[in-house]
Amino acid sequence: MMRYFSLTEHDKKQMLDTLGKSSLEQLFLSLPEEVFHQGQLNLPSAKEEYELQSYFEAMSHKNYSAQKSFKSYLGAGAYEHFIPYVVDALSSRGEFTTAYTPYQAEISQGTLQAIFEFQSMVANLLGVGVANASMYDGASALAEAVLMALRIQKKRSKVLISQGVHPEYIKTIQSYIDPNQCEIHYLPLNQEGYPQLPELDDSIACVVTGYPNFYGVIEPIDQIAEQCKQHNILTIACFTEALAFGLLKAPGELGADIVVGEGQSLGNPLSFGGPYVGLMGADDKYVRQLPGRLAGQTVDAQGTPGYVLTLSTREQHIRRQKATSNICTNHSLCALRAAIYMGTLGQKGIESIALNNHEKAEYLKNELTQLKGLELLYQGPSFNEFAIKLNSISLKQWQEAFENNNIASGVDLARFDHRNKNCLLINCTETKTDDDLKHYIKVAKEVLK
Amino acid sequence: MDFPEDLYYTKEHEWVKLLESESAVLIGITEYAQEKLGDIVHVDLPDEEDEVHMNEPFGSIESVKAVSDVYAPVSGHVVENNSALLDSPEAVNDDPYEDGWLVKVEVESMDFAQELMDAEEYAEFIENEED
Repeated sequence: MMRYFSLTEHDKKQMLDTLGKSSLEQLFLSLPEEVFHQGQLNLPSAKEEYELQSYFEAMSHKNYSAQKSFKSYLGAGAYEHFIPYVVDALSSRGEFTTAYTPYQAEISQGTLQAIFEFQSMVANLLGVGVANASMYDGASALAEAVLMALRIQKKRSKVLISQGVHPEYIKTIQSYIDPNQCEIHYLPLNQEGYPQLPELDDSIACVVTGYPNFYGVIEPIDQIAEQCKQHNILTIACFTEALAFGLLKAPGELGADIVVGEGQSLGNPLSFGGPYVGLMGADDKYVRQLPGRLAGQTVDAQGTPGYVLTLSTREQHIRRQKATSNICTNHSLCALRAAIYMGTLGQKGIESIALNNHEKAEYLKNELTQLKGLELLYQGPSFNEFAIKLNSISLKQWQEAFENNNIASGVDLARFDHRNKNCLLINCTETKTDDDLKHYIKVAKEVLK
Repeated sequence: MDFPEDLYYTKEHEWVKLLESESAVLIGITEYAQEKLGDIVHVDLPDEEDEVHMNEPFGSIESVKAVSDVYAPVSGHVVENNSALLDSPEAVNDDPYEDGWLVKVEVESMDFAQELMDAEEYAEFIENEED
């Protein structure tokens, strides 16, 4: 690999000589004078390397970081989890850090096998027959799922979406999908936080549910899927927290036809919101409508196992005019991290982390809801995230008190929906110790007093 | 190579069979086409009641080598598709003129026959194409 070195005077002269020019000015002679910058650039003077490093370190210390300076209870689609060191160690190997698309099976066996393993584990986790590898993030995976449902249901154009689906995911659907292509209806949530289905009919292509949804509520997808099946409507289950399936029954097993969501929780850091990795799986019979790439396992003429990109005809590099989607990267390095994470923990490990998340969040939820002055926004069961509504004080007062204790107490829900004034979405993962939780409850008690 | 006398043929290597009792035709691909495609692994067909338009693609056939569009030799609407091919696409390889038929189309008019080749013309056409 070529390293980056700036041009020397010698390099410049050599290039100018080749072009038959005597100076840079002469090279750019054809450009009009007014496009050139006049005077000096507004830059500070040069710094020593050490000085420069100190300068940027001082800048970075102005940031709050989830682990170091603040205890973060922020979730809402991006979750703080412990990442075993083996994930960094293996995924940073040079062989994997490539933007190269592994079309040539002959030289890509390692990458292809990693993708294959990722798909297999995702399919297992989501309880579906087949999973692709991989989408940009949960939001774009959901938009692709809706497009996929509309492809399968050629003659239907209505899409019903639970209002429990992440509001930013809904915005992504709106920007992906041509309004002439389908009619979107939103399903209001009841007290439990479950979407209210209207009378179903044969004009509906799919129903999108949240499992768990944006407010942390585990929507009853088995009942929804059962009703949908009677009208041949596809059920799409969408999640933001993949680790939930270490504890909950997989959405595919509960009757969801297409399952999509965010895989960040599986070994990828928060990193300011991305890049993340979208997970997407479906029933076997829809494999040809699944967008993106798919790595398959086969045997060569000698019977040795090998890996290839398969069913590529619906991807954009072959018959691109017929491609099922324009998705063109696979966030492969993030997918690799997810594969290493899942491979490291195994089924038992994921189950135990999921249980740990759930127990801590339930403890916090139960303790908080015993306090006067706040209530649960939705009553339905949740995994590691729940929404509360403050009745006696303002959210501003609450947040200030927590910030003074170096706690980011949750996400202000009014940011997503103005009707949710004074409501807070609180997330709790395995990264919070019992003392952390007790501290949270203590601060809550003080501020509500 | 077998090109039954009672069929009409297109330059895109589809065959058309007139069904005597009704104003519908059967459409498939020729033995020559299936042999060129190789092992067929998937067939994508229009739904019943879909319209097809002469010389426009109405479905596709995927082999281990490639995916090819299938062009409609007639205009009309689909009354039946050979859904058995979804489970056993290899029927197109094994028996392109019988079990491997693709769709049955109710045609708007019989004029299409003038545009198509008979078995003899088609055999000649292929011979020239091979050269």
